[in-house]
Parts: sequence; structure tokens; C-alpha cells
Amino acid sequence: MTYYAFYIFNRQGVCLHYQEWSRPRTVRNEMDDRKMMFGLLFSLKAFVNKLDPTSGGSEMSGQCSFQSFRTNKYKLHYLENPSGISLVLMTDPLTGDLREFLRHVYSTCFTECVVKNPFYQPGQPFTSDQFASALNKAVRTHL
Amino acid sequence: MPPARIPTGPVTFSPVEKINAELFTLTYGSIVRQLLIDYEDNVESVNVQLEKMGYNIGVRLIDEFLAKSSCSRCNDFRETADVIAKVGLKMFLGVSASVTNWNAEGTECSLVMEDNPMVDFVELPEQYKNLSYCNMLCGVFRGALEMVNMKVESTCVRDMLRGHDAYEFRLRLLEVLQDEYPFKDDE
Repeated sequence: MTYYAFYIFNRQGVCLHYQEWSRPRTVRNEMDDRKMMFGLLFSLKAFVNKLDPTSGGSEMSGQCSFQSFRTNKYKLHYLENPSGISLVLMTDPLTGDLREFLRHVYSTCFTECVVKNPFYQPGQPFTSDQFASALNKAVRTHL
Repeated sequence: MPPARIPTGPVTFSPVEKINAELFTLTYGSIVRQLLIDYEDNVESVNVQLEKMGYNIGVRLIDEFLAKSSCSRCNDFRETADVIAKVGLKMFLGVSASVTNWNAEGTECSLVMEDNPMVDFVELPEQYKNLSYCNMLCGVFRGALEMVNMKVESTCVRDMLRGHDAYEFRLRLLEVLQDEYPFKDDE
């Protein structure tokens, strides 16, 4: 399993964290890349909700949320929490369902290393060695 | 009637690390005491500061709560209040509350606690009788709910330290915020 890149966004579209393991195609403009990613996810969520053929959710909860999409070159996994923190992981297309893994990353790496750190400003991008190493460890053990 | 999917107290209480209750109570007490010293006994300012501190805690606590309880999104304010009272308070304070006094539209309710570990050993002297000792909890509710797109106003209505028979917090839903695309289209 190859992991390409990982993003964390908050509700306001701020990219709180970005980490890449292997990204052969270089990104020309980082700001644009983040905005495009957020815009894509935002739009996909809205579309997916509107096209839902089963019963629609109430206005407060978008019950229908997309989980991943796959192309011939990569697969993008997505997990959004009710608090607005969303995790995005790009891997090779043959990877299975990584929702549990993303939940694990959210609860052990993000909540433990970032949220509980008093110097983390909610809503601001953060750099945390603890988080990066916890994430790397989780990726290695999951592989 | 709460839906079956909401996990109830003891199940969610166990995975959370616990600390000594006295340490918690004494730490909170020293925070309040220090604020009173810093603001020279201006009780109103201290109330405001406690609420602000609670807000900052709430904004982070929500992630911890969601991570440990794996609760899914609530459908309406009633469910939210139930989850706070039965799961959230149980998980973090070890006591659960009851939800009462709903108004007609379902936008206001009261969380009533018989017991509150924050106020063990506390007696309010006469000069601090207007101090909202548990105001930090009001801030926590406000901060946590704001992160899930609900703007609420939270006040302490009944306080055993002031002679009432229980702790009652009034939660008023001001508005439900909608997700908006934050970037302007022409950028």
C-alpha cells in the first residue's frame, strides 16, 4: 500500500496540516492546492447529499457523507467529524476501506497530540512533531 | 425517547483516563481564587473570564468527546441536549444530568445536576455571593456546541452554593449555523 499525501481541514477551509510521503507530481502552488482540495470536498459533500436517493437527512445533519473516491491512479479517503475537522488521505487505488484507520488517526494522533496541546490555536495551521511521528507510526503499523 | 445509537454513560466513561477528583476540584478552586485576586474581587469580571476559559476548553473538548464516544451527528437540539447530559457530562465530570423545562419551540432547555464535583468543599463567602462558580461549565457548553454549528447561550440558573437545591444550567439555542464556502469565488 502506498500512501501519497494527507490533509487535515477545519470547517473554515483552513488546512491545519499537510503531510506527504511520496508525491511524484510536484505541486506548483501550495495555497491553490489546498484551496482546490477543500473546494472539491465541499462541493462533493453538497452534491452527494443532494443526489441521495434514500430518505433525506434533517437540515442540521447531512446524514449522507461521502467516504472515498477512486480513480485509476489514486484513491482519496475522507472522514469528516461533526466538529468540522476533516481528514483526507490519498493512497494507491487498490487500498481497501480506510475509514477505521482515519478514525484511529483522529482519536489517537490528532486528539491526543494536537487538541490537548495548550499551544495549539484552534483554527490555525499547526506543526507538531509529536503528531507527525504518531501519524507515521500509525501508517507504518497499518501497512 | 433517545435513539438506540447513542452510547450511554458507563460504556463511554471507561476508555477516558481519569484523574483524582480532589485534584480536579482543588485545581478548579485555585483557578477561581486566583482570578478573584487578579481582578481584585470584581465578581462580574471573574464570571466573564471563567466563561471565556470554559469556551476555550469547550472548543477543544468537543474533539476529545467525538473521538472517545464515536457519537454520530445529532439530528436536532433535543438529541444534542440528551447527549450532553447523559454522555458528555458523564464522560468528563462523572455525573450525569437530566434535561427538563423545554420551551414550546424546543430551543431552550435546562440541564439539572444533583451533584457537581467542581464544587466539593466550597462555601461562598458573603462578598462573593454573585459569583457564578460554575461559569466555566457554561463556557464549555458554548464552545463545544459552536464547533458543531450550534450557537447557544448558556447561563447558570440554580446553584447549590447560593442556597438552591440543585445545579441548573439553562441552554438557549440562538441559531444553527450552516456550512458556507469560505473562499470568495473570484480568488
